[in-house]
Amino acid sequence: MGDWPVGITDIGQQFADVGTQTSDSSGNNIAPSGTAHQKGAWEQLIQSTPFDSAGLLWAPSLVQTGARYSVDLGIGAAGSEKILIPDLFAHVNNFSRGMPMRTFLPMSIPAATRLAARSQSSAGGNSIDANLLLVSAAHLLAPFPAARIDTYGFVAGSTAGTGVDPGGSVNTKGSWAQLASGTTYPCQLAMLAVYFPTTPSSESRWYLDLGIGASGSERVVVPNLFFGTAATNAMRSQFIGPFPLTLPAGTRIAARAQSTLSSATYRKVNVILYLWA
Amino acid sequence: MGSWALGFDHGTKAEAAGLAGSTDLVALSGGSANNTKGAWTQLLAATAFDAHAMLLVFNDPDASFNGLVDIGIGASGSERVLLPDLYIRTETNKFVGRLMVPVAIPAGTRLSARLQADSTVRVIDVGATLFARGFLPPYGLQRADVYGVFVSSTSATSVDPGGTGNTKGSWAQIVASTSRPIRYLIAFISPHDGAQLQDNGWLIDLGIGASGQEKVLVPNIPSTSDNGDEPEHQQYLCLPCHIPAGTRIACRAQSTSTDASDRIIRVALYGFG
Repeated sequence: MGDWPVGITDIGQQFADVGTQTSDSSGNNIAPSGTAHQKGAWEQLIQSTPFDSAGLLWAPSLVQTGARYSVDLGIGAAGSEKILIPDLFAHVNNFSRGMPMRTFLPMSIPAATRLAARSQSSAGGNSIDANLLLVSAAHLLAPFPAARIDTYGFVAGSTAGTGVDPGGSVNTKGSWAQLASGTTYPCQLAMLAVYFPTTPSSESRWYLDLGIGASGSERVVVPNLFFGTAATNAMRSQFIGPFPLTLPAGTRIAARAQSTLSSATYRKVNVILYLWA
Repeated sequence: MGSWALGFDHGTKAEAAGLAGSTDLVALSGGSANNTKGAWTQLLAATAFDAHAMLLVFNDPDASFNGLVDIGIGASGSERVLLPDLYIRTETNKFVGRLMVPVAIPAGTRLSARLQADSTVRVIDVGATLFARGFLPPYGLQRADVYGVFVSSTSATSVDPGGTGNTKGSWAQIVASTSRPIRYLIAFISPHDGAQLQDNGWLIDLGIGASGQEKVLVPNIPSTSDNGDEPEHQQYLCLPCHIPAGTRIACRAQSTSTDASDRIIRVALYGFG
């Protein structure tokens, strides 16, 4: 017997791509401001979403080597856009057609919503392509329809994340770096963007802890998230998650890391935290 | 006022599995013959809490190869496959991929893994982070079915966009009939058949329905390849997706490439219910 979940209409669940450029098998082009670290103009992605969405697949694609980008997804009429998801980060090194990662982002978006996007880059100008795929209701998301995402640790003035330094002792946790002094809303879901500001000198690995609590009294809540890269690899920023993380509003969140590298030039990672309310 | 979510006895819980010394993960070795499973290797002796999701990560293969990884549970010598034949496509020493698996695992469970590869005695590192319930539904997901994988050759289904650039090719069947309902889907997509990768883009449709009458379910999933480098981070697509038992699933794609080798992608599906 089939299992078409109750309450989901028509063929069951629905999917819709937004702004796909079929003529060259790519996505929406979202042009940053010509000035570094400043958001460009809002660009419409779709005038009216076709159904109530429970989330979207986000897949940026970059062609400018070494530049860092952030993208705001917004809703609302032209000229009155409001940020729905702030500062989705993307970075690649040594790529001529790089896609950092496809990531599913739970987010409730009513049918008939106008979606727009704007971006900034660390170099100014150039462009970022982004594919979007809207996903309708899903059992997996039913308990907590996601209503907002807040970003912590993003440094808009340099289009960068917060630096986390593992310190000079290899395979030993470094100091905590604060990502949020106090979260604005309760959260139930989290995602990290991590990237390497300098291409590592050798194949290298990191463990990263997320902690909560006052400075000097941090307590680990997510231990030893692993990421790695190869030397001179064509590197992409990595999204880790979304994963469950239930925290109250007002929580201080910090990160610390250990690495196989001791060089102050190569061991550091940058981190941005996204929390779902 | 704080919000430690009511009705959740877990609060925030997470633990790592598969950690090894020197900021590393546990190394898996493939079987002594091509396309045969190696021995089970323990990732964690006993999980600390009831987990409802697992973030798997693969890293640092010793060579370029195609591999299938089983995640197992149970005592040493009595392991049972929990997640079968997770497909990986590797390049020497590089980060391979990360995927979120929303599967329920009771506290006290021993976790292990094993590898097969299309060449002998290959090695890859594997680790995981387990999470308590959080946003996931109370009933959890309990099983995974794999479609489109060829265990005998450690490969996945080939999808050819055809010789016309940026135009959808023919449908390729991934599975004739799904064996159980799916509520969460992981798609492995690897633009990797070409001997030398170029700067290419793909748009991939997943469709359902009988041959010749396919209806697009998930349209225009994007993928890219870069000149000379692996698409390592984009191998996995994880999203909620409802598909009933008994469904035929097929895949088609378009590509910027018209090269008979470079344009081809490999696809495998994992249905969780």
